[in-house]
Amino acid sequence: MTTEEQQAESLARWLEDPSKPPPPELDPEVVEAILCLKPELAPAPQVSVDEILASVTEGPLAAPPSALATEPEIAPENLPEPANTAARPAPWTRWAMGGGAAALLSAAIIVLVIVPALQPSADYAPPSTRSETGMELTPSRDEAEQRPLFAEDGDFDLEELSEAEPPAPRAPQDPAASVLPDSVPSKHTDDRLSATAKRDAPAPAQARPEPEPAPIAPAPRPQARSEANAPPAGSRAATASSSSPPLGGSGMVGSGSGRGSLDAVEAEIEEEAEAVSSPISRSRLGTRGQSRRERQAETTAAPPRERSRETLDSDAGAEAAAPSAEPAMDVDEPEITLEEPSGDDTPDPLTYLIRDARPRGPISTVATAPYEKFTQGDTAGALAASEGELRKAGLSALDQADLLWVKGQALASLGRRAEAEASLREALRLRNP
Amino acid sequence: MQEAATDIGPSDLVPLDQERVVIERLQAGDRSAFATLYSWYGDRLYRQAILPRLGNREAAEDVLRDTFRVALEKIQTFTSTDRSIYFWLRRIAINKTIDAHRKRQRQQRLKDKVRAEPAEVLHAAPPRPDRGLEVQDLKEQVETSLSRLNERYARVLRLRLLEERSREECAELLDVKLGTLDVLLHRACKAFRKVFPP
Repeated sequence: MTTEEQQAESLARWLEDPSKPPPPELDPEVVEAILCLKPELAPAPQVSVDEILASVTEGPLAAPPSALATEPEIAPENLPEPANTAARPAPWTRWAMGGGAAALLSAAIIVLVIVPALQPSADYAPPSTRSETGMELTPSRDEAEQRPLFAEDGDFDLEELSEAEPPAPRAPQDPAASVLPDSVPSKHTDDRLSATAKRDAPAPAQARPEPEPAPIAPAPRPQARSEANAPPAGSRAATASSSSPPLGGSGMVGSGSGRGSLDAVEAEIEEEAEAVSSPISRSRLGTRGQSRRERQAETTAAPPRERSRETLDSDAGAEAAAPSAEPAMDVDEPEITLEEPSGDDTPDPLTYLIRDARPRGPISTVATAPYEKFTQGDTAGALAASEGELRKAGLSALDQADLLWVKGQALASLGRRAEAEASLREALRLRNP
Repeated sequence: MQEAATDIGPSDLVPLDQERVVIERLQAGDRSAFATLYSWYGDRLYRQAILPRLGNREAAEDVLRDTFRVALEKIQTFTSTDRSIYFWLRRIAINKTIDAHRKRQRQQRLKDKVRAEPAEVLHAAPPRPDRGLEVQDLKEQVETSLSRLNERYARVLRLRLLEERSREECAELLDVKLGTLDVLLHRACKAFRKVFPP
């Protein structure tokens, strides 16, 4: 007994007792044909009400968020603390979780930790000394507005930073700490912070030097934080402070003019950072030392399911926050590669496009319209269209092959087998010269 | 077959006032009302609107699932008139089957492009325009497909499946033995599937 006979017998048995499910040995095409003609023989659909309801994403019957969030949206390794993934964050929170907070925190860390750590401690110039020199500490408002976020000396402009977010209510300060000398011109961070504090002060006051200022910060601050406030090497303030006391000296913290306001702003920044830092942004702090490419590579290497929408949003925010010339490079690199094939005869990834003139695949666009007609059942139209296209001059071999192929199919459907075969053989010859 | 071709009659439908109550509950966001609606029309849509047009059970289940998902998402746009919601659901289902055909056609076209050989093309089935599903009645499609078959195949399919005659009666009318009838029917089914939908 052949397989076909067995199947025919199975089919006959099933049709005699259609209450049973179709025999598994039966050819799927046969079962499909029977179900097309007698759909009442089909088993009940394996679709549950709950399954459908869970798939609804909009309208009054949309699944509740808890039902949709069946998987953790953020990879566990990216979450130092549990994340609130259920509720959609407010717009400003999304901004904070995206590029805004990351840029803010990155800039603060750069100014407060990294940049000072790279500079020699001897360049430190306490504000008290600067005030003694009579240099201007308070730049004009217009200057401050025109300054970029990063100052010319590479330092981060904390005034801009402090203006980016509305500051929290300030703690009462020593009036002496708010008093700034007006005569010391400087672009240094401390000075700008002092300028900010001065604007916030109720009334301008004359600068007065304080040889032994009282420390404002009650707790001793780590040296790195103190160094963070040092001016960069070569700055005017640093040059003017050649006789300043060594790092950690009495004039270091709370030196009267700008120190107290700097501490206050730093505290504000820290508070704001704590307030806005989501688990994601905190996790970013851990990788801040890495380059952007490294972070991107890590993110890309993560399994797709672990890349949540929030992570993607924050990635997009980081991209927006860090202006880059990479898009242009992405265009330039392939163009250069195409224009300058490698000199060592090693084929570059794209140079084959220049060197290899042979058609590499069925990417013809000329044959699309005839083929569309053919697939829509308009066989005669497809034949006419393909013949019309073939009469045009300047067709590539690939286009001709595709048109001949469509023509051959159309001829075959019309029963003109000899012509069809000739057309198809010609198509094959052109396709595989 | 008549049932498959003509779909559903008005007498098979739930009374409109009962329907309206369920629809209003759905429009108010009552998810529990969906079970009622599904029990009324889920199976009918599957057997009478989707499966005959697709043949494949898995694909038909996907379309059924998608049909009700879309219906629930757009339930606010449905306005109760003097017609049953079944026809609205059926319209969605048919559109979804057309989408499924288009998807399959794109995949098939890609395969054809890759492995186009003269011998295969010469023996290939005629193209299956999916737009026909939208304008033609299912019964017409079946007739069209049957007309493209070998006359003997078409006859055994009509006798055994559409007219629902017994094996013995069919064998007698075709003047063949029972075993031969079985094989004939088996081959006819395979041939029919190749040309359906037309």
